[in-house]
Amino acid sequence: MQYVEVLRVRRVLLWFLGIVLGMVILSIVSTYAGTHGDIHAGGGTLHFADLVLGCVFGAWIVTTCVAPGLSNESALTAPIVWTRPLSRQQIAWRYVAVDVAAITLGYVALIAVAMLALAAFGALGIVVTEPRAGATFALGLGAAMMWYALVLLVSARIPARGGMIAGLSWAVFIAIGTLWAAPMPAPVHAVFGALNYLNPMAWIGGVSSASHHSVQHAVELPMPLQILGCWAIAAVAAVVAVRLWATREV
Amino acid sequence: MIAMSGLTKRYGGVLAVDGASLEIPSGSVCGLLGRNGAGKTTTFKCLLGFAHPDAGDVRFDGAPLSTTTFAHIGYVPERPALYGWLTVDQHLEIARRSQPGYDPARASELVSLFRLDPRKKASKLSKGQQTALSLIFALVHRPSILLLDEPASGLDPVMQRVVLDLLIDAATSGAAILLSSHQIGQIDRASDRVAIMRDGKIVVSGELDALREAARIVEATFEGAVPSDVAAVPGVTRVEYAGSTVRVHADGRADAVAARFGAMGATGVRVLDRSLEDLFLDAVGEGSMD
Repeated sequence: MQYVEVLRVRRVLLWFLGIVLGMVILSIVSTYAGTHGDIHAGGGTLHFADLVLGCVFGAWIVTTCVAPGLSNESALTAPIVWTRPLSRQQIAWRYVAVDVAAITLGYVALIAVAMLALAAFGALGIVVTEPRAGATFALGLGAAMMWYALVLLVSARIPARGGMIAGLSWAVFIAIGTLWAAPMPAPVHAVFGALNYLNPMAWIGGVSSASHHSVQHAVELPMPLQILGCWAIAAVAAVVAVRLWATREV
Repeated sequence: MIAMSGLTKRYGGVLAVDGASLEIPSGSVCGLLGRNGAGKTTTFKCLLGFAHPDAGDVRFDGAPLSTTTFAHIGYVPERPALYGWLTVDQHLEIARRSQPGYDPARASELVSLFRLDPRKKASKLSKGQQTALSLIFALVHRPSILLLDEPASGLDPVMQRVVLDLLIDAATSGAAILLSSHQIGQIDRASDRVAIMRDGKIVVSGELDALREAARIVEATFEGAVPSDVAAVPGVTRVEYAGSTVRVHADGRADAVAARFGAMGATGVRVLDRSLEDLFLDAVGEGSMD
């Protein structure tokens, strides 16, 4: 039954990577055209972990594109999806597995495209690899999964509104982060601080190597706890979402 | 066999299905009739587990609805539920991957029968073609239980006949079929049983021939006034007077009632058969004996 979701995420990934590659090619062409092929990488270094962290933005785009799938199934095509000889929970988890794979693939592919772009600009040498890149990837992916599961949860009982909820999630998460950072009375600040724990953007806010201890971050935990926190929220939200989806009426 | 007893479903203050009971044996087509909002679609939803009944019991071949039951159920919803961005072929692929009983030869046969282009996207199909694709999806694994909510809507008369023939074939092969339609002619042609819903209740159900027999009307004309005791004749359930003529419902004993009227001095006696449409209009409270 996950066949439909495989086709759906394939379409999303093709569009996403097509646009990203197109942008990269366009910038390479325009750069080479402007410099007549005389490209020099600037000085300095780029930590691979920071590149991985930056690419999480792409994973979030893929996330918000694939997350509405399950919600739409129960609203629009339940006569197909819910009349298969499979339990609804099984069907839902298969969809989730496909979506998780797509988000991971999108994230990895974007990192690969970024490396290719650097190579094309002759700047691959500035990339510094370090062991924390793996943990950063785990955190970035965890934040994407958290985003995915929260959209799944909110849209589980709202028929055919998965797309709208996924789109609005960007505005909501940005607003929470912005309001938390804005000067506010302490109680209001505390409320947004608490809400930030459900904000995937906040979980990666303090990870960059360029960050300083003088800057306050929304979610400040040791890296392993931060990774665990993201994935745990994602797992709990997904379990509840699947249960709600599987027991809803149409 | 499809069996439901005391099925009740309430949405807030609205009783959508009110204690509906029905049995459809294998090899039988039961036509489900009712006005809009009578509770037909909600009944289908309760049968399939799409809606959770507040009370009552649903059984398929003696067992309650479970995951495995869906390997034997074919369902056509009131409105085609298809993936507009997928082709006919891709819809069949969904069925192939998800139904253990998928029959590829049957799939090809049905696609040809309905003259669908396998490469065409569902969103590009006409309404009738979308209905046809829904039907193919429901029939392609040769289910023993068919739940069909307006399965011929949007189809041209030729295709409607094809669909009814398919249903009759399926019933002949032993399928139990619940068929809802607003087109009484379709029900009349395909069904051997009928159930009529009004305000969530099944107000009439049974074998179509028996219902017709029970609903026959006797019309008698007398010289002068109609005798006052016609209502007391055994079998008479409802009487309408029109001058020296009386028309009565005869509760399945039309011939005996006619003979009795003759003995009471009627100068002319006729037994009138009633159509399914008459039965329906009577059952939903819109009928008369005219």
